[in-house]
Amino acid sequence: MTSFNDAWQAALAAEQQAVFGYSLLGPRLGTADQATARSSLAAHEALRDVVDAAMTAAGLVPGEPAADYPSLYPVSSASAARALAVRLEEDCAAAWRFAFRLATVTTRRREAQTALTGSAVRATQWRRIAGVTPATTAFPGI
Amino acid sequence: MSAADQPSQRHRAATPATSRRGFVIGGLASVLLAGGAGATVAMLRPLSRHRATPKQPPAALTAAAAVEAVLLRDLDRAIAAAPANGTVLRQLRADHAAHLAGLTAAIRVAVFDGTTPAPSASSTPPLAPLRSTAQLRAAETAAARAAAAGALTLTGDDAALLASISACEASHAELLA
Repeated sequence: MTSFNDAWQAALAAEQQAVFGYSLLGPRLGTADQATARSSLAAHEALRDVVDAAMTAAGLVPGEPAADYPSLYPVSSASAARALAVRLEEDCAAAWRFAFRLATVTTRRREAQTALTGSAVRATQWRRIAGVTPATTAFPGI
Repeated sequence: MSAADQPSQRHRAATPATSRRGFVIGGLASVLLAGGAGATVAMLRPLSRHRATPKQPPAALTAAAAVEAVLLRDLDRAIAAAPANGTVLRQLRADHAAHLAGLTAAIRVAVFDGTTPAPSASSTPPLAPLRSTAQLRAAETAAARAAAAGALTLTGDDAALLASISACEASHAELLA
């Protein structure tokens, strides 16, 4: 059975992947999309750092980011970059929903809920930018 | 929590590739199980009527279902009033219909009674005036906050369901901005 600690580590790993992924996709985007990419990257960097610090404070050892994320390649066009952004957010939403499902401490539950919502909103922004219909999903994280 | 619960470095390295699949399968299974369990409970009901006592469903679930019913009704009115702007509104409506279905299934499981009715117009507040886009956005934001608060009062699949609904409604507010 998966413990909350495992789910928390997986959520951190998803955030680390998102940070890597946005750095990868950013250069492929046009000027109009750069601001959204920068704000998305900043959100994931901040969350990664907060989770890393919280894990350390809890006596845990935060997982290190992977050296590379081959599954994110290739990003050969602006449309591929936008699709990757959606995927990164969906991965984070899934990880945080699962963490919320297993969390018992209120602080951790609020953190997971906020992170799930943030990724759901950003995924919607990227779907709208990409012209994906529908732009929302009824159950983010599933 | 203890350091002993930590996965190995090898496990962590594999997590991004494997975890999403697991989450997706687990999440879908939860939804299907919720619906399937409701149907199963309904079939078993005649056999267990003499001993199964319906319980009160969690207040957070019933409150969320009532909110969904109101949002659906408001969106129906908004779509009817401005069909040209209906594409986004119809999408929001589809999401809320899915929310209500999910909540209804969860309530049925919670009370162990497959005949629990979904919230109907008769159990929701009186019809409000037609809402503007800004008012619909405010209603989505309020619904998202209420669902998030309700999720904190629940555990397990019910909590995750409300958390996900809250996230969806926050994205609705984003679309209506």
